[in-house]
Amino acid sequence: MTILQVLLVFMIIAALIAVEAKELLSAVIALGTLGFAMALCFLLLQAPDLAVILLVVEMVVLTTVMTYTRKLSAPIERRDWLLRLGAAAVVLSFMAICGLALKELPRFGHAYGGFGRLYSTLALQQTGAANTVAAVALDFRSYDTLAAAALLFLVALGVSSLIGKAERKIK
Amino acid sequence: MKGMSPVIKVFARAVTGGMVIFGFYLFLHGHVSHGAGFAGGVVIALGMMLMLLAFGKDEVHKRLDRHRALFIGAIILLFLAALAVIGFYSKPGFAGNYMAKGTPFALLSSGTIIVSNIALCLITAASLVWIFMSLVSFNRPDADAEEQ
Repeated sequence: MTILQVLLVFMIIAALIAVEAKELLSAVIALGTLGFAMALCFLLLQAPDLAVILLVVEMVVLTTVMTYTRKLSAPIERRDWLLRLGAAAVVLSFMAICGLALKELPRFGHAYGGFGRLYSTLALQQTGAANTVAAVALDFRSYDTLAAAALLFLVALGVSSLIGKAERKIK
Repeated sequence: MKGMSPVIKVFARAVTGGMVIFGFYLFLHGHVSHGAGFAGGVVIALGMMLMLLAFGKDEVHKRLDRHRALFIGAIILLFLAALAVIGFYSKPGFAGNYMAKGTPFALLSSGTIIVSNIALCLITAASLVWIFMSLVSFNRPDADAEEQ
């Protein structure tokens, strides 16, 4: 059992706790440990940029949920057992299909297609940036990054206008 | 949202400067080591959120309300779009890398990557701060009675 497999089992257990917890605070803490274990997985799979971004976004999400939720010690009501049995059956069949599909993937590090190898070899010469992830995101694919920044701005705009509308309705 | 005890206020004042400097480091060295714009911007926004939690809504509202965050974010987004459009009239084409590429591993290298890193960091920080300030300036009439 490698460390990666242990972390994956830990993530599944944390997700189950987050879904089945009796209090909101316990669910939020389980989500926090889930995000932290996922960042460790990314580190083990040699993607440190992803791990950094995942950790900071996880902190933002957890702090926002814990600050702006009204009662963290409120009990969560549960649905009846037949619905949960149906949900468990759906999840298990989905996992079986995923297991069959994941056998067809290539080995780690030998992906199909030439773009990955092309980007790795050409990034330093053509852009002068040592960080290949930054070179791909901000030079080869900078239009996508521009759209991503605009999308973040639009999300903030939507939240702000909804809050403004609710404020006016209360007044 | 009320502030917290004086111990937390002193601690927040001491730590937030370090957080903002760390965010600046993450995006300035984005093209040399790990990080790049998004991570730096989120860390800077987290520093602002620490100030908001420690000092309460009214103190932060005097210095940075959600309209000012909107203004900063909009100007930087226009700057990023202008950077991409200027590339339209140069050799690499729209949103290309048309500035000088210096020596590798130096701080001032790799053309427009470092400039768009700055813009990305500020856009991310401004959008997240805008979301926090919007959520906190939502005055529910029964909010203070239910707050623990």
